[in-house]
Amino acid sequence: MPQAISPEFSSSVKLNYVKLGYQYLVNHILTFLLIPIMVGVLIEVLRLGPDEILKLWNSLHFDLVKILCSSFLIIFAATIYFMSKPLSIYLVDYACYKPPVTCRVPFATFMEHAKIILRSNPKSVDFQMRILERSGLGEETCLPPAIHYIPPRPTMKAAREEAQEIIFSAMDSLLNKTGLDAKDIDILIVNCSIFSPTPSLSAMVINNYKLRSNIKSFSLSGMGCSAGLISIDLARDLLQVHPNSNAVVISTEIITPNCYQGKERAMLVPNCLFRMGGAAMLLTNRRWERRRAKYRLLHVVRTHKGADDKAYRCVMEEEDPEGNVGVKLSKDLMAIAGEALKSNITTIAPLVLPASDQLLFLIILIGRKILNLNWKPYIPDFKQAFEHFCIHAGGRAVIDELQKKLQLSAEHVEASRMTLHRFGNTSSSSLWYELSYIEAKGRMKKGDRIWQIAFGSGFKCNSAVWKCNRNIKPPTDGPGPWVDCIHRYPVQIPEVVQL
Amino acid sequence: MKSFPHLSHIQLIHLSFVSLFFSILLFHAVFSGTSAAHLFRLLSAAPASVSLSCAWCVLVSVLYFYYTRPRPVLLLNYACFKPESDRRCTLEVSEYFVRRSNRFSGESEAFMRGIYLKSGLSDETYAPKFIFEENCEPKFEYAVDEAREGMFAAVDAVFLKTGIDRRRIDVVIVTCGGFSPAPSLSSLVVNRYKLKPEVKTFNLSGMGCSSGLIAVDLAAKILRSSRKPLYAIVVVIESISLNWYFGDNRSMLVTNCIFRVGCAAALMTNDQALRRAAKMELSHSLRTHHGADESAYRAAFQQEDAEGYTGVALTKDLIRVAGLSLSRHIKQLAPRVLPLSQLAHYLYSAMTSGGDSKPAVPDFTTAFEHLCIHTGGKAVIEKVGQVLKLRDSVTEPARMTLHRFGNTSSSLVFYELAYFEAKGRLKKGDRMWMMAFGTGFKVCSLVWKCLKDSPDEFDNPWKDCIHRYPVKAW
Repeated sequence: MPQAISPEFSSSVKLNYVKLGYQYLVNHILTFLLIPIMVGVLIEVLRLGPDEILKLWNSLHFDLVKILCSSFLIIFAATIYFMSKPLSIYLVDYACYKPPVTCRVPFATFMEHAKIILRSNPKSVDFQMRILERSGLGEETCLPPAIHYIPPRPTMKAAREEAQEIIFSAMDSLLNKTGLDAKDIDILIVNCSIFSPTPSLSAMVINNYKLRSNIKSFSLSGMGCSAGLISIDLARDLLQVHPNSNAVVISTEIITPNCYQGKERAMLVPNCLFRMGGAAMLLTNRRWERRRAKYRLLHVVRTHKGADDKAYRCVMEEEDPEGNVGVKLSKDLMAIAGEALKSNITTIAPLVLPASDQLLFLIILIGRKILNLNWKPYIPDFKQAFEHFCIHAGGRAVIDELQKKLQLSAEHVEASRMTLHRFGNTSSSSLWYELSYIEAKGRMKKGDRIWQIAFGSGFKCNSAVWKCNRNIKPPTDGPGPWVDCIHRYPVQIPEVVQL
Repeated sequence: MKSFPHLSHIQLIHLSFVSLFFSILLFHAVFSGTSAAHLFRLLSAAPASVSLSCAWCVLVSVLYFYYTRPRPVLLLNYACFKPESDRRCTLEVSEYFVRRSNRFSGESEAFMRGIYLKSGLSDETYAPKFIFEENCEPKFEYAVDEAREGMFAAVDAVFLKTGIDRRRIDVVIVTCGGFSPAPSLSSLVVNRYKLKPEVKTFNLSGMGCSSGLIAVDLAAKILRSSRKPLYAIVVVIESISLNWYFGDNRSMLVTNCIFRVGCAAALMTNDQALRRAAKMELSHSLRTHHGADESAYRAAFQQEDAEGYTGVALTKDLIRVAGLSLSRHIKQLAPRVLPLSQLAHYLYSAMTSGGDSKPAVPDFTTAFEHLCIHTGGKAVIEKVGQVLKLRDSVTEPARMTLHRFGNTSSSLVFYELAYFEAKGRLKKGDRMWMMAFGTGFKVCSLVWKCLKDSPDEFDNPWKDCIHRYPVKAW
């Protein structure tokens, strides 16, 4: 607007250039040191001429012994290097479950059910309406068929059916996409927080797909919305011990047994937010899969704040006075989430931040703590370290809080917000829907780094860092969860939807 | 897909080493115009190069051997939870509860009494608290209390016995078959013992009676995947309170009669510095899953009966499935553990049997001094004894543990281990085979090597009654 550029603006622009220059210098310091050396060597070689070089070569007196020794030395060093490196873990591909249209729960349906089921408690109905209005969910989220009944019918049979529908669809899709033979699966990990029948869900998968008898299967349960990343961490540890193996990880949350049928307000919130969803991932440490693998796992960082009583109690499953079991969310959930995130960031920052940021952080730390100078603490800019962010779509408040804390732009959190809008809070699988969104939008390029963050009861904050291994084309058809609706996104989600 | 064998990094390095060696020889042969044989003579005549290359070969091979061997996993110590004697479940207590609850028909009562009397359980097993409460409805908090009571007692004992600082624990694995609240039981352990924020927790659920051994195996795998010394605590528990069956379906009533309260905790590590203090070292582990077979998958199934009550139905097929799964399992285990003489004998009988007769089952008592078998029930022990051709003295610990503690599900193998210790049967160097079955149908084996003679532990659950054992259980 103003014709003359204001001095603050021009100084901030200059500061930006200085910052950019500093970052470039520190991050490429090795190149800056090597180039003059190589140039010097090249000039020297050119100066000497070919005859002198040949004389130099012959004077080294290469004989059999020396050649053997030097080659053994090289091989020895290479062996040490390769043996000390942990095996690279690749995510070959993954598949997200797309619920059928018949399971959709638009706002009108949800409120009608709530009004009928809780007609003796209009205050609870109002409360649910207010939560739904501000939730950030859209009209296309889905609930399993058993919950569509009035009152809901959470039988074990219905829960198993939901589990079979979600898990088998996702697995079928994964097997199709990757061309994987079911008999080729060496490790199977299934995580589902609330529902853990006997035999386990992993046994159900083994039974349906006739997997091998020496498969290593695990069924994780009760670990909340961060269980997806915990399963990835487990798969990584197992793949370190079993070379040349495939691991299938299935993350889901079965809503049917989770439906709270009482009237306690703090326990009604999960009813409003949790929706049907599931995802299946194929991880491997086989080197030849590197070519077609989509992502490579760089780091998984887990932080558990359970030692603090307040953090432990902020998400608690308990019985209300009438005997209905539900999950109670405490009011300081956001504050605790912020604390857990801070701990997690402290561990992950040195692993992912570029050298320039780390150096700056170190200098400021020394200045503040040792020299006692009055400098402001340095908040690292994670946008330098990652191109994409997948924040667990726990609820609008979680995404808002993280956007503020990490200073992210609207585009960075778009995947999370749109996943919350389209699919609701699908618990541990939401990270995969978000990743799918980024791919469907065609934003994923080779070399991009992705940061997945999820919170879970207990209180846990888990992060995974992936690097995109190849250029990924957005899918134009097929069973992808976003294929039919990506053209409508991003949508503008109002602060409060009027119901 | 696999057109040529794919090699790991190390194997590639060594292949390149060998090929480089020979290509250099070839290079020299070609360029200096001498034949390969002459070159070899030359090589052998040149002592320095030969000795040097041999030394490097040996060095690299030793390094390879050292690095690719799995790092040993040690069991430092374990503890079993023993409830107070006022929680003893006798026949009278059980009958009183059944009558008070007013939920069962007369036939069901008679059936349960019959099962109880034939089960091989004594009157000293332990029942959950809610059996003794006035109100017969199992509430959520009862299940939480049951879990807290068992886990805290066992984990406290383990920390006391090993003296390990709580803040050094890196991995927590909790397995509880029928109960997985939010936050998980592993978070409960973290909260109670104020473990460090970097701790890795895993909560397994629904994996049946073999989940104890599966959890130990999982801990071993995680410990092996790291080069740093790590400490893992494994807690094994089963929840009875919320899994009591209140209907009248006979196949589901059996679990009411034989499952009892129990919990065990174990501390494991890969830190070799603690080898002197450790009790056992894990040699092998093997898991087989027979869920691909439909009858095996449905042998023990949790479902609702016609009235809508949830319970675990144990079909009559269970014993047959257990026997079949065990035979398949030992086929995979045998080559890894049997001494050569037994293996040769087995192979010979397999070749000469032919036709209908099955090959002779190898004698596993030659491979192990002690067998620690999960004892789901009387019929299971008998079937295992039949399949493996075990004498009564070998299945005695299994039968005695079932008698004294009932079927505590996944933690039963630890109570059985405590029996061996109480009897003073473990000697340094003894090999022990722990085996458990689980729903799905899974079989899990762990092979341990004893590093110490049986110590006299102050909290051994058999301490006050071992003098009475063995008894005739049935």
